[in-house]
Amino acid sequence: MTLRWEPWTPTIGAGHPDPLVDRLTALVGIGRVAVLARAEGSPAPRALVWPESSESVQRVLRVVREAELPWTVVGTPPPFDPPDVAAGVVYVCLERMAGLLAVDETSLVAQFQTGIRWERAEDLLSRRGLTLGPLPGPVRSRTIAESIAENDRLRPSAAYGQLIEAIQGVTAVLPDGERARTVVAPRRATGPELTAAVFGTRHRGALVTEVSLQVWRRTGEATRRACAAADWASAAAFVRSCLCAGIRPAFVLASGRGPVELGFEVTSAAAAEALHRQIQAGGVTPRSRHDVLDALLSADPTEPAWRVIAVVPAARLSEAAVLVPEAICPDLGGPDATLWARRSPEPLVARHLVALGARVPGIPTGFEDLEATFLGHLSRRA
Amino acid sequence: MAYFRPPVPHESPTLSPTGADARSAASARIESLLSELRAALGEDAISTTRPDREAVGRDLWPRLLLESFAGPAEGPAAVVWPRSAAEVSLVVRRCAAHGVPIVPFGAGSGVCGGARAETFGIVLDLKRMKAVRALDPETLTVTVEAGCMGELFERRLERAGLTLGHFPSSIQCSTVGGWVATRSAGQCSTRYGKIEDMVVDLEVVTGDGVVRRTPPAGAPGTDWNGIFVGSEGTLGVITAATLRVHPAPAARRFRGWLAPTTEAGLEIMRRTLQAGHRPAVLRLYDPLDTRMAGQRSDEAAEGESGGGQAARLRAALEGAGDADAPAARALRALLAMPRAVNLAIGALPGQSLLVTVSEGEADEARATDEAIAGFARAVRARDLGEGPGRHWFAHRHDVSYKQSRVYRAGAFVDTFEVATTWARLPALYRAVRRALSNHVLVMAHFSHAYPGGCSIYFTFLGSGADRDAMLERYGRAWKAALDAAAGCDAVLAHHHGVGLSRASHLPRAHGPARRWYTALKATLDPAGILNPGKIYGPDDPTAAPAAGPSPLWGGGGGASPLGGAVPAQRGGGAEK
Repeated sequence: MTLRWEPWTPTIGAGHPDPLVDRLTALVGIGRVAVLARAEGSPAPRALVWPESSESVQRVLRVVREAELPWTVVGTPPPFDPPDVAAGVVYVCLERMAGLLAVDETSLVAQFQTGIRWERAEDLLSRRGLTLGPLPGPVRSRTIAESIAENDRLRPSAAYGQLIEAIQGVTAVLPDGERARTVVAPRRATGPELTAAVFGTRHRGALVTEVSLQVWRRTGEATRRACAAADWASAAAFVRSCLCAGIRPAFVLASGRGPVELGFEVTSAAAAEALHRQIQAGGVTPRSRHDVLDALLSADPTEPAWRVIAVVPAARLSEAAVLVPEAICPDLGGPDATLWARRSPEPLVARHLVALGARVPGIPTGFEDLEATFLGHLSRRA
Repeated sequence: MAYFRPPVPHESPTLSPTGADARSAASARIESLLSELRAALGEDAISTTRPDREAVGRDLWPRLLLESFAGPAEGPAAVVWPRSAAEVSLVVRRCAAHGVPIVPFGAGSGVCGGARAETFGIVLDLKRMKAVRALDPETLTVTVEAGCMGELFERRLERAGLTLGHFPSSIQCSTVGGWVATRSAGQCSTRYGKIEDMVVDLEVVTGDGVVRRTPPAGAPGTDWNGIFVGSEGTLGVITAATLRVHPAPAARRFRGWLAPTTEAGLEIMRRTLQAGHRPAVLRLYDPLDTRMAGQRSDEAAEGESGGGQAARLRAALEGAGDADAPAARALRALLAMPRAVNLAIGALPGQSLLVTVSEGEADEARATDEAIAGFARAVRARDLGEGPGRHWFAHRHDVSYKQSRVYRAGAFVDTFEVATTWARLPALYRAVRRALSNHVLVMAHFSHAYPGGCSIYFTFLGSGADRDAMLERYGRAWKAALDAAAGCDAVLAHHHGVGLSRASHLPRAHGPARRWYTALKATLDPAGILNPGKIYGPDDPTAAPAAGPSPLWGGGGGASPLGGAVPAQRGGGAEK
């Protein structure tokens, strides 16, 4: 039997057997609620809802809370083969909340709905001569909402910062349907960074529906340079010397188990020239290209398999790189370095990484209890 | 029933228990607490002497300075000097058990009342925790304890050929912990960032007494650094921080530009940042502040009404000593008619001084300086050479030392820093200036610039016939300024924090987003003892113990309209 989502179209006098479906349809509009057609009697999700605005997300979450139903957020309707949708859940699908709402060309701040994918956002900006900066493969097909849900760190860039850090203000819907917003500003000192409490909570702290992002003017063609260092320590030292010299690459990537290959992307002729001088000055061997960097920064939809497997203190990077030789490192030069790989490390390797002082996703940080308590307090208050 | 009156900016409310029985019970609990702490930490870790308590009883919030004219405040019940995170943990656990509030204290240079002590609480003075635990020139990080004084810390880095790049004007009288707790900014933030941009991880003692180390900046998952930075001691006691440092700059270039208008000066700043340059300092003065900074671009204008007023003001400020001095009388005379003086100053030629400092490696410093020059020439700004930049750099910490002269002259001075996007910046400047103009003399400069926006730093001076009149004028000025900034959708603090001075407006400014803080507070400080009443004011339900009214607060506590248990009654306006 083919399973599929069937948008519900109500007719006069004939309601859906599940009153929730009719109620949600009344809130968000005809054709924006679907149910899963599947074998009779088997557990199924309650509904899939496509809200189109923060207001409709508010309405949906209020109803869902009243009904005390579990809900989850998806970027696209969840697949059924294998049938991994959850029984009884209301899916809030953000694929119709994918608009560019406003652009402040003076401040270079663009407001997006969070159902948009980063590559689509970049496409819309590029038509105005603007850019988000480099988008490595793993982040391209993600939605902004997905990045916020994980507080992902998939765009380390000395020149542009993390994509998440480009967020200057948000609109969000709390679990009980109340809408919150933060003022759009580059920095503030009005207590803690409130969004820090909800970014990375997989939408449990709030569903962020709109963001205002710092964007940049396109300045011309990006330039790539490559070189090789004898080992991880000297690679890190070289990148650090570049940063200290005022060169802020849009992207740096390191890979290799013996000699470490370094790839740089810079976005101005001056930076390219400065980097060239730095490479020629010695300590590293010039290379003509860096294949991994090229693949990562090209529009390659097969790349998203890369993910963060550890954040390692820079001083222990050499030891960590030996443990995970297949890993690449996209942010050399700082106090901590991020290792990406296409699969999670084996448990034994993960424990060794932790022993080196690394933060490994999935390994307890000591803050799990606080996160659970925080979410409990947030959901209790209606 | 609301148990607290909403705080207003011209009040400095306390959270004291009321009624003789409640006070007596609170005193008994504190005595019991202090006995335990003396036994655990030693006699020299605790003081209940009046000078010690007064010294840590408040920060430099001008409201409290004005109040202190009538005599020093009572201060906390005791001051405790821990030597380690373990001792902080012990103090927090014992205070939680006894329901005694704790106010963490660095050097007391805050200007928002964030370190205002509670009469029936203790102050945790962290200055004995001053060690630089680790300095790694390889990875360019330093781990330093919270009580380390800023100037000494920077000198230590300087000896290693490094810099934090964080130079608040209070650097000589502030601590690293204070910087982190208030999300402070230094004068070179345009290049090095604010303190939140420098934090790698933190050691924090949360309200349950657990010593925790936050995951490093850049790690996926919840950003605990972002939660504790700026929390003003309300979510945890910061005991140490690992920070990014930089090689000390090899070269530095100074410059001054006279922009034809303030808007033209802002254009130079905006274009510089959006082109990706990061000068250490971009500091634009509005017309009056340009005069006060000593830049007289147009001598003829001195004869005009506004120019004359500005010159008189400058002379009065420089000459003001004690209240009877002629300059002091002149200053008070000017400040007695703020609307008229502001109006006259508004007619000043709109030229604005832009001070720039570019630093780093020689190539970078030169490139940055030249880029600024290109943008400046595009708006027909006049090159004033190195002089203004060098002058500013040499005197960059002087301003704090001029303030006492104003108070001695029978007047007050305060500052208000806000931030917004570039597009909204001119409207914000006009709105706040207009709002303040009715009450006080106002000038401003623009600093701490980012690609997306900038902060405005308003300085205002006022006077009154007596202390009460000054307090009243001070409060009205603050309320007007906060209303105006909120009306422009600006953030109400860029780097001074909230404390008590802005707490009246934060609930409205944050709206439902405040619930994230409320849940954090209940999570991290379940006993409600950490710097209660700060940030959102004493009507914050989380200011009181979440589990129910502590005996400290006396009997009769109940549920607040927001669902939390609150003290039975607030102590009042603390007009002492």
